[in-house]
Amino acid sequence: MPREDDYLQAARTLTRLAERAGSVGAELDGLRYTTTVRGGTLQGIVQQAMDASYLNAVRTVEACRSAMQEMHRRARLAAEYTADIRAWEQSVDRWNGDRGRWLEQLDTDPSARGPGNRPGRPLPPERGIEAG
Amino acid sequence: MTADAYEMDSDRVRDVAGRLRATVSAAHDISGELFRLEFTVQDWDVFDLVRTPNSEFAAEAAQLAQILDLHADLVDAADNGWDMSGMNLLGASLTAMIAELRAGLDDGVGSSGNGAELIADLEQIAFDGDVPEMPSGTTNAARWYAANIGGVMLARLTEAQRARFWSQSSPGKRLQIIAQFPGLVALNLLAHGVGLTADELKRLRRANAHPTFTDQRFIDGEVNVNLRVITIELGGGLSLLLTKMSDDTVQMTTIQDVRAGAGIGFTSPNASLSVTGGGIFEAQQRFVFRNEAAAADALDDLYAAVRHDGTSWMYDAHWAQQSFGVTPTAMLAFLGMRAFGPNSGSRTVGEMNRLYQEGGTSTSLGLGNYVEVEADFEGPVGDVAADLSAEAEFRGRLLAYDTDVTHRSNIPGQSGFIVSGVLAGDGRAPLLLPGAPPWPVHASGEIGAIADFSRSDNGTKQASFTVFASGGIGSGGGVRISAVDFDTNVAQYGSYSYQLVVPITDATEQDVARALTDIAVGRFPTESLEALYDRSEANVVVERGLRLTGDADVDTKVVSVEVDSGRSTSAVVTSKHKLPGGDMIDQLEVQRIINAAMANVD
Repeated sequence: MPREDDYLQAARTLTRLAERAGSVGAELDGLRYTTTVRGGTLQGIVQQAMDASYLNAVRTVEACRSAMQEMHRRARLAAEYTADIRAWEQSVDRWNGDRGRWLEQLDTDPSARGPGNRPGRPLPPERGIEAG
Repeated sequence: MTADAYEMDSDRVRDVAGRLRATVSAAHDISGELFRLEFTVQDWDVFDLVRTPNSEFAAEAAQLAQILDLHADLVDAADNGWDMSGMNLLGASLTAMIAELRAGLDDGVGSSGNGAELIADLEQIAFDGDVPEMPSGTTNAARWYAANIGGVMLARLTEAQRARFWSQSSPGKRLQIIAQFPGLVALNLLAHGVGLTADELKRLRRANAHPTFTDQRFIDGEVNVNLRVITIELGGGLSLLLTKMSDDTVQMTTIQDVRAGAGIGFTSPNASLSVTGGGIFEAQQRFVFRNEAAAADALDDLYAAVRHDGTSWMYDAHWAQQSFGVTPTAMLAFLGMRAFGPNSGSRTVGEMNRLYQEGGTSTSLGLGNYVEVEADFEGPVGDVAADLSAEAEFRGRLLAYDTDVTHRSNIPGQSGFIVSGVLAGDGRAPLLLPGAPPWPVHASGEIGAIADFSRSDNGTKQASFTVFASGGIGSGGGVRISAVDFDTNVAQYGSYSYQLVVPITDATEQDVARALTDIAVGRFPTESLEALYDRSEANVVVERGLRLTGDADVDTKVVSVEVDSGRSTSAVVTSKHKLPGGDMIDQLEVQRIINAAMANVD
């Protein structure tokens, strides 16, 4: 399951992909204003396809950026979840210690109060997010 | 550069195809990376929004590259004299590929490259992603778009982007942009080879209309009655200003004023000083005529009416004088004839009303106060000027006004008040040249400022501030006939005026408050003034011309009568205009660009 580092790595890759798509868009932006071919019908479809390709490149950049933000959001959630798990592990350790002492106490004091229920493991904030 | 500026040869077409393939390769790399990322984050949907346009791009750009290569092959084949069967084969392949590409573009996935998508993209570029949204309830969407988006697009986009924006914009939006930003359309589109239709050019010419030539005529009469200490002044004047605009229309403004006041004066053998103040009533009518001939016809009609009325007055005066001599009875008879006689009506007033029906744009009535301080000097000044006569005058006015407009006006009616001050001076002295008789030289100049605070009928408020200066030098002379002194003068003159029109809004009120605060703490309000300037409209006009003036004075110890008249004609040599948020645009340069484009269309 993906952890914080995985999401951060994905965000970095997406930043690179956005830059790559941006370069493609810039190349297309230059070509679409300077490409002129013989024939009205052909020129029309070439122009339209150039524009569409440029706009698709621009949309790819925008989508990469929003996906990158999503990866950062998930990385943050994964980091918070990791901190929750660390805290839970510590509370379980404490509970185990309390329980051991209580079991020893029971030998001399049958009415000694127990440590209560075992702390529950926190649930992932979203499906698929794992603690580091 | 426009897309159809030139056609590429087959080598260049192949070069474009090669560059397209390089971008397709990049798109495939991006797809591969996305595939790996999906495994990394264990989510097979999250990158769909990236994958869809990227895949569309890869597929369509690859098809386009193929088409371009095939097109280059076809061009080469034609140039190399291939037989028709081979050519037809290539042509059929090309047609099939085009059909396939067109189907891909129109499949509803990714971008289709249509005009709306292109404009939306250019808007994002021009506004850096923060495109203004049209408020709900906007009645004229095209006008709003032009004012809030179209002008900015023309100012901020690159040359190629502007051309594409223009070609994809609807005719309605284009006309609104022309009406509101003629300077940008001419300088940023026309001057760079972007074509406009003949109708658009005509509208552009009209939208850029600015004065090119002015012809002003005036007559002003004044009667002063000296009552020992104070002087009673009664006066009035008529002024006619004809302005020829660059779109051939002619604007005419008539101004009539009457004033009554009282003053005091001090005299010495060589100098005199007087201070006069009182009330003033002013009426203004504005007209617009479609061309010079129409304006000339209107003027002919008006002058004929004035001549008729003048003759009629003279006739009645002559009849009264012949019948009753120069007596109070004659005066009463004259007034009776004017009030109830056969010629008592005013043809001039009737003609004015008719002209107003035909071409009137606004009528303005104003009521206020005036003050005049006048100083005169006459006599020798050392050895320099043996017979110098000089006059300096300050005229101040406060006038409240109300303007009604007709359907021909392109601005709403308004009311407000004007504060103005003018300092004028003139001097004359004989110029002594060796071996020549003395040459009477006359120099004059004035500087002034006008502040106009108005509220229009649609609720908007604005303040306009105008400063102006003019100066002239010429020659003239005087003659005394009976008890009347006649004086004429002809001069070359130049004038400069600068006007700043500040809309009164929350933002500008804040700027004014900031400026006042800065001044209060002893700091020059640079930032607030810059902000005010940026939010304001500005006009600069420079004129050069010829002025002919004449006056006739009768001066007795008790009563003095003075009639001034004149005419000035001038050509506008500079006319610049700045819209809020824009740069100063040279309207004469814009006009030259429009004229050149119209010549090509014609």
